[in-house]
Amino acid sequence: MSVWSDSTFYFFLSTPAYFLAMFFYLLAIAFPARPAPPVRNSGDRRPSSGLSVLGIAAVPAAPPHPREGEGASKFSWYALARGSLWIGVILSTAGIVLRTFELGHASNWAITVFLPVTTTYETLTFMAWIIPLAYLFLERRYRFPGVGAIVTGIAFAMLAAAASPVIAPRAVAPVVPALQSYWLVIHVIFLMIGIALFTTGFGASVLYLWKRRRGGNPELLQKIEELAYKANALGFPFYGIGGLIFGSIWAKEAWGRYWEWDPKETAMLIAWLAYALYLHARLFLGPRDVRVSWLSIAAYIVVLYTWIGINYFVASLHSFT
Amino acid sequence: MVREVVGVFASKWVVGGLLVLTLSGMFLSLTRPDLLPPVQFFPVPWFGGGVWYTRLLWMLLAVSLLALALRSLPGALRSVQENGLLGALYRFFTSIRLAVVLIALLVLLGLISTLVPQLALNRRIDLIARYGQENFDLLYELGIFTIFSTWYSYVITALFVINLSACTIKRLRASIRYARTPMTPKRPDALRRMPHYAELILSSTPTPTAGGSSASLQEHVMGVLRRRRFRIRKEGNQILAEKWRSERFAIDIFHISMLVTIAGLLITDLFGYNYLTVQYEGSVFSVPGRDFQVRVDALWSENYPGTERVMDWKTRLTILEEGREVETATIEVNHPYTYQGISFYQAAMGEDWLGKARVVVRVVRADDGADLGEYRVMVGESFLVRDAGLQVRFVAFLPDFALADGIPYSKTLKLLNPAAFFEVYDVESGELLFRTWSFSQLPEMQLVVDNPYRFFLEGMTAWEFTGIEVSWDPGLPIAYGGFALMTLMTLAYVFLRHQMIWVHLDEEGGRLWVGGRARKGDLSTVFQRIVDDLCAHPSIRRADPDLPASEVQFQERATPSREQEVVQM
Repeated sequence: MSVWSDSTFYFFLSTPAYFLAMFFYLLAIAFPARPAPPVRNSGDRRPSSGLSVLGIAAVPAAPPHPREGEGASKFSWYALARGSLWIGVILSTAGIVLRTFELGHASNWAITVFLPVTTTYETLTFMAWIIPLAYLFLERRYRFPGVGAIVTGIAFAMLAAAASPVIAPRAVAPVVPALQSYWLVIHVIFLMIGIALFTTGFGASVLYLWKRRRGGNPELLQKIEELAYKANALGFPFYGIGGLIFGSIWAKEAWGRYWEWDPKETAMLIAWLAYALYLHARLFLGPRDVRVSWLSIAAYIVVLYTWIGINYFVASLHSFT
Repeated sequence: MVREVVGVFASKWVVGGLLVLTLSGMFLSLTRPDLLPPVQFFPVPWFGGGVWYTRLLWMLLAVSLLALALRSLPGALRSVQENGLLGALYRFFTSIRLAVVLIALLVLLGLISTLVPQLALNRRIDLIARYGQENFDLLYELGIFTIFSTWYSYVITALFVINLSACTIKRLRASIRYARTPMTPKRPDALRRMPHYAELILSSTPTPTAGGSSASLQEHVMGVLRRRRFRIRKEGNQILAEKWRSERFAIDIFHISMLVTIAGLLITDLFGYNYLTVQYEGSVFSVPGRDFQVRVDALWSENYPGTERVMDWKTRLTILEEGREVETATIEVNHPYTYQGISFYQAAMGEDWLGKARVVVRVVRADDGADLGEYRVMVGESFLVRDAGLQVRFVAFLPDFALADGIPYSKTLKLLNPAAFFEVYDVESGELLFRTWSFSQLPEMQLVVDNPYRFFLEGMTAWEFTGIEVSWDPGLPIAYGGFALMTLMTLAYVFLRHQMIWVHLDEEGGRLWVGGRARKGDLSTVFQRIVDDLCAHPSIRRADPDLPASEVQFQERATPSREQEVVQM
C-alpha cells in the first residue's frame, strides 16, 4: 500500500499545516495588517464594504487606524494563517475520507454508515478536523488572530497527541458490536460539533480575559465576548442534543436503558450543565462580568475531561477497546 | 456580639474557604483512600467519628452554614410578611440563586459518581478491594456507592424539578405578556437608536406617472417586506413589520419538555422494569406481568473473518404462549426485539465461569500419594470418593482468584487464575473434615497445605451464556415525545428570532427611515438585504454619509446597548 492511500499520512501532513497556521496567527497579532476602513457593527449607516464577506477585510483585533486605510496591502500574516489552516483542513478531510474506507474495509462493511470515530486515534484526528472547520465558520464574522492561534493550537495539539503510538495506537480496528449502529454517527457528530464550537468559545474567552487584563478597547472586548457567547450558545444545543437526547435514544436501543448514570454520561451531563450555568450566568451577571468568561473556560475543561480525561480514571460503559 | 460572630461565619471568605477545604478533603479521601481513609475524614460516630481535625472542619462548616441560614432569616421573614407564605415560596423557588445552588449540588453528586465506582456498574467485592472493608462499610452507609438512589439526591432532584417548574411558569407568564404586546409606531429619533438603522433619501420629484407616488412607494416597501414573509401593519405613515413573534416560547416549551421527559422517565421508574437475565441454550424464562414465555433456541458469537475480534453476538429467541410457538426472532447488539411491549436486548455473551463452571478434579491421598481417581463436577454439586469414604462439595469456582481485604473473589471474569473451592465431608458421619482451595496454575499450593487429601484441577469448561436485558418501558412514548420537543425547540431557538422592522415614510422631508430589531441575536444580514431591496425602487437611494443629516437633529449615541436585548432572553 502506498503512502498516498494511507489515511495516517494525510493526518501526518496536516499536523505541520496546523502548526504553521498557529504560528502565522501569532505573527498576525504581532504584525497586524494595516486595516482597511474598520468593519462596522451591524446597522451600518453606510453600505457594508462587501469585503468582509470575501475574507479580505481587516482584522479588527488591530486597533483601528482609519486614516491609514488607503495603504492596505493584500499581504497579511492573517491571510497566510487562514491559507495554512485551509490546507490543513483539506489534508485532514482527505485523511478522514480514506480512514472511513479503511475502517469499512476492516469491519467487513458490517454496517453501512461509518464514521471514523471508533478509537482514540480516530476521534482525535476527527476533532482536529472539525475544530478548525467550526472556527472557520465563525471566523466569517469574527476575525481575531488570537482566537485563531488558540484554536489551531488546540487542533495541532490533538494531531500531535494522535501521532503518539502510546496515547493513540493508529491501527485500524474493526468496529466492535456495541458501536455497530447508525446512532454512532448521529450521536458522535453532534457531540463533536458541539465540542468544536466550544473550542472556539474557549479561545475567545481566554483572549477576552487576556485583553481585558491588558486594558483593551471596550468595543473590541465586547466583540470578542460576543464571539465566545455565540460559539458557546451554538455549541450548547449540538452538545445537548447529541449527548443527552441522541445518547439516551441510542442507550435505549443498545442497552435497554436511557440513562445508567454511567460515569461518561454523568460527566457529559455535568459539562452540559456547566454551559447551562454559563448561559444563565451571562444573562444575570451581564456579558462583561469576568466570572462569565471564567465559567466558559471551566466548562470547556469539563468537556475535555468528559471526552478524554475520564477514560483514564474510571471504567465506563463507554470504554470500547 | 452575636450578630458579629454570625457575620464572620457567614462571610463569603469563611464559607468559601471551608467549602473548598471540605470538598478537597472529600475528593482526596474518595479517590486516594490510602492517603486519607474515609473513616478518618467522615466523622460518623458509629464508624469511629473521624479524627480531631476532620471533626473540627465539619463542625466549622456546620456552624458557618447555620450562620448563613440565620443571616438570611430576617429577609425570609420579611418576604413572608410582604408576599404571604405562598408568594414567598414562589419567590424562593423562582430565584436563580436556588437554581444555581441546586445545579451545583447535582454537579457535585455527578462528580462523586464519576470518581467513585458505583455499585450499579461494579461488584461490591471490587469496591472492598479498593477501599478496604471498614471504609467500604462507612461509604456504603453514606450512600456514596449508590449516590443517585440516596434520599438526599432524591431531595435535590425533587427541589430541582420544583425550581424548574416554578421558573417555567414565571418565564411563561413573561412570554405571554411579550406575545400580547403589539408593535407600536416609533418616532424617527427612536428608530435611529435601534441596533439596526438606515436613512434613505426619497427623490424630491415624485413622478405622477408612476400612479400616485405615495401608494406606489408604500406598495414597494410592503412588497419587499412581504416577500420576506413579514407580517405587515400600516399605521399613519409608518409600516410595521414583524415575524416569528412566538419564537420566544421556544425556551418555555423547551423547559416544559424537559419536565415531560422527566415525567416519562419517572413513569418507567415507577411502573416499568429493567433487569439483566443470564440464560443458556435451551432454557426457558418468563417475564413479569406477561403470560408468555421465552425460549433461548441458540446463542452464538460471530468473529470478523480471519480474526479473533468479535463482530456480533446473537441469540435466537422463540416466544411461547401456553406451550405454543408464536414467534421466533434473533436479537443482536444494537438490534433488540419487542413482543407485547417487552423488549429484549443482547447485552452480554461469554462463558459463565462463576455460575456454570465444570471442572475435572484429581483426588490424591497425601500420606502415600495414592491416586483416588478423576471426577467431573459442576459448581454447587458434590461427588463421592468411595475408596476414601469422602463426600466432596464443589462450592465455588473463581476464574481469576484474588483477595480483597482477606476475602477471596474473582478479579475479572476471564480464565486468568482459576481456583476451585472444595468442602470435604465424611460420608458416614456427615462431619466437615476440611476446606481447601485448589489453584490450576499453582498446583504446588496443594502440597504446602497440611490436608489429608489433595485436589488437582485437570481441566475446566463452562457453559456459554447469553445476557439478555429485559425491559418494560411504559414511559417511553412520553420520554420520546419530550425528546422530540426538546430537539425541535432547540432548533427553533437557534434558527428563529423575533424580527421587527419599522419603516417611516416622510415624503415631505424626502426621507425614509428604517429601523430594525431582533429579540435576540443579530439581524444585520437580513436588515442589509432589506435596505438593498428598498433601494431597488427608482425613487429611493441611500443617503450620502458625507452630506449633513436631515434637518431633524437627532441625538447621537455611541454604540447601541446590547444589554437590554440580552436580558430579555
